[in-house]
Amino acid sequence: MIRLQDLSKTYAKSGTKAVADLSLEIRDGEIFGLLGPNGAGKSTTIKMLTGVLRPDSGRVEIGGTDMAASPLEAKARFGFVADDPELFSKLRAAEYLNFVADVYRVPDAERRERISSLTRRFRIDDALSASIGSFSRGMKQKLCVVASLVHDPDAWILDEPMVGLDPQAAFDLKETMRERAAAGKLVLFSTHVMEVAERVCDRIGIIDKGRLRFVGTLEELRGRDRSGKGDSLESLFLELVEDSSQGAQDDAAGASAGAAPIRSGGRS
Amino acid sequence: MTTPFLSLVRFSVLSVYAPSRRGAGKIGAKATGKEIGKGIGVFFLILLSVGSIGALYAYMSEMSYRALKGTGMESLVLLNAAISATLISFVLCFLTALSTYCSKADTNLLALPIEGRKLLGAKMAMVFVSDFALSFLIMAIAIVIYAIGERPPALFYAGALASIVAVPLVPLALVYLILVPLVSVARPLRNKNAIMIIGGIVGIGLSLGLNLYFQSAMPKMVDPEWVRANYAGPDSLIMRMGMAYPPAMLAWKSMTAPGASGILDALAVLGLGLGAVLAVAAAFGPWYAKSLLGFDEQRLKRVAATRDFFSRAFSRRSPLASLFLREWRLMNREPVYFMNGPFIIVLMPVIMAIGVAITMQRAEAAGDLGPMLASLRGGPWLMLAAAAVGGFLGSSTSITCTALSRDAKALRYIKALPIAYRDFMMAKFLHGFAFAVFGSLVGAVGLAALAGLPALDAAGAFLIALAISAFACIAGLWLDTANPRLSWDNPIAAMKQNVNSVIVILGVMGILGGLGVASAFMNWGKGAFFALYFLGFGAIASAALAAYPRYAKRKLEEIEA
Repeated sequence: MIRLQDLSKTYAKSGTKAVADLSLEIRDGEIFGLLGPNGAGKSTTIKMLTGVLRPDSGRVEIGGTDMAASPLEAKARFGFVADDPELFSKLRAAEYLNFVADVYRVPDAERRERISSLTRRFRIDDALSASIGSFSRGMKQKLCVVASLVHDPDAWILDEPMVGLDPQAAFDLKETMRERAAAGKLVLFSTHVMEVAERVCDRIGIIDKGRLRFVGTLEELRGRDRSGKGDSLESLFLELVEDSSQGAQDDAAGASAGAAPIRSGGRS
Repeated sequence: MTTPFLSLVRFSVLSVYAPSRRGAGKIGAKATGKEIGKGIGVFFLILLSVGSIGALYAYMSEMSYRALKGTGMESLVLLNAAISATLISFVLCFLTALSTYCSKADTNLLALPIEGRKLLGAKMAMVFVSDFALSFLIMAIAIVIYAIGERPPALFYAGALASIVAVPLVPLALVYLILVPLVSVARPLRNKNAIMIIGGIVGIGLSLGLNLYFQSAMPKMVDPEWVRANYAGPDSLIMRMGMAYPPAMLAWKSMTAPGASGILDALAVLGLGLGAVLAVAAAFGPWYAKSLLGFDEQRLKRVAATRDFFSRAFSRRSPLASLFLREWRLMNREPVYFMNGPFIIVLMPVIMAIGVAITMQRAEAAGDLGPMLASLRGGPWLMLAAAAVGGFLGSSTSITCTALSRDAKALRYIKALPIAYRDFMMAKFLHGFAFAVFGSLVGAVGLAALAGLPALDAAGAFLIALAISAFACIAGLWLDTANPRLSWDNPIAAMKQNVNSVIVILGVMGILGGLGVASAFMNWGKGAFFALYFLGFGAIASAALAAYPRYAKRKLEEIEA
């Protein structure tokens, strides 16, 4: 389980308040999608969740381990796919995977077995001896996905994982997400593509301007269709985001009509 | 409205020479105190490098002017300047043109409706900026020396100005005349790594050549006969070179021929230079644009992974060993990092050896070497000199000074892994220190062997060098942790544009120089000096190394990757 409690972050350099009082709980066995427009605070939330950024306030717990108190233990509990796969282009794919496996202290037999099956699944098993610099963006993304699962983590966190993937790889990734959730493991990913969330997620969280605007199932989001016209999820998403923008403007104007976060707890 | 070509020239020039603030999108923002400090530091560094080359050239020009004055052929210093500027321009131009042949921005420009000749013309204009600066330095020194001595008429200055502008133009055209067909035809050259390696080797060759030239020519400059033999007369080296290369001869005549003849020569040299550049841009532009297509494309090698491959490739190491290996591979496989880091340990001894060999040759010729070494061997000075050379060499790779900066792009990912920051940074220290051990060994033991020091002294020199290197390694790492360069697009910026390396190298030079002077006033024996320097540097390095992990952890946690 991942638990975020009253997380806030203002970037020291720019002074931008990226995330404000964000609380969220993601349960084992579910696929959770974090949605929001560009600059909404998704990546900042994931950075705090993965220990990359230190929150100004609040608490992050991964599998019951407090990130601030025991960062190494907490980080060992998840696998992470960053949004930019441009890493270590001078290493060979096998060297990179072995490095990650060393960091997670994966025993030899396990790492060989997992790397073999995952690279086959994502069709990069014949490129293991090649330099990462010679990979396409999609292949790099697949390599990062494999690396993130090399220790078979309880939680799998992915930042914009579908970017750059071909349809087959995107399908394989979604299948892997479902399999992991079925095995009782947690999957959390960020995206701004509603279709992906619609097809994969058990629950979604919509974040905008650093605040969580909605948490719940897709059905619960559809239940908020005020027009009653059976609008698409995309329209509902845009409606929510516009509401929050309006709320922020009203706040700025001194009015007190900001959109309150909506929370739901069910699972589909 | 600026024409598209001028806009392209501006873009090309700024993308190479503009300070990083522009690249970081901070145009118009107020500079911080740190940025102003860096700017001042870089300015003085440029001044120091340019000043030292300028001073050497000024000395040589002054000496040759004096020697030639007696024969009435003093104006040959101007011909010599035109030839020197051409030669150095050609090499610098080749290096700049090669290293900037194709950037990411250039390949993006291919999608815009810009003709090849304009692309190449803008690129040549960008290369001309640095080329012109160097040519200006060399030509202006000789022109000023000549002008002070001869008080020439006003027309001289018009010819001088035309020559300064025109002299680097022909080498510029020549370089692209060679490079464009070469890169187009030779597929392996359309690769940034290959270009970096070739550029590095040519650059090293140039620095060694210059070093050798200055070292061997400087003492001869005091001999007027030698100067006359090389400068004056139809068979002299300078005259033969001038006859073989008409633009230099025209530049010389534009400054020395009287009246209209001089003006015609000035126009001719300018016309020749500009004509050559325009002709190459027009004729080779389309070819150049074509050569950018698919530049730096890498071929993916697909090989079925066997069981044997899995056994070899995937075996467990400790996280620290794995981090160390990662550092080692990432640095040694990136040509710009390798050439400016570990390779220094190979390059520097060669440069030092040239200097030492020439000095020893001179001392031997004068019959001073044997007695001098014998008198020094008994005291601590040769041991200390070997320790200083070893310490300097061990500190010169700058590996730790850029360790965190080089990892800027990966920090976000690294921080999400369960890696102890202590291990992460210690791997960086150990990586730098491994090369420092090698550098200390080559420098201290190499010099000790050359000077015929006993084994015990050589060992003492090596240990002192090692302590100095350890101190420099931790100082560099500390500095780069406190002041990392985290925002860059090109790995070159993390290393070559990182002021931390300069601070540490200059710092070590200053400390060693200061201690050298202080030691000269201390009437101590070898043992006392060894204890002072080995234990002193060792204790400071150990204390810094013990305190560093806590500091690094705090700083890494603060970094908003």
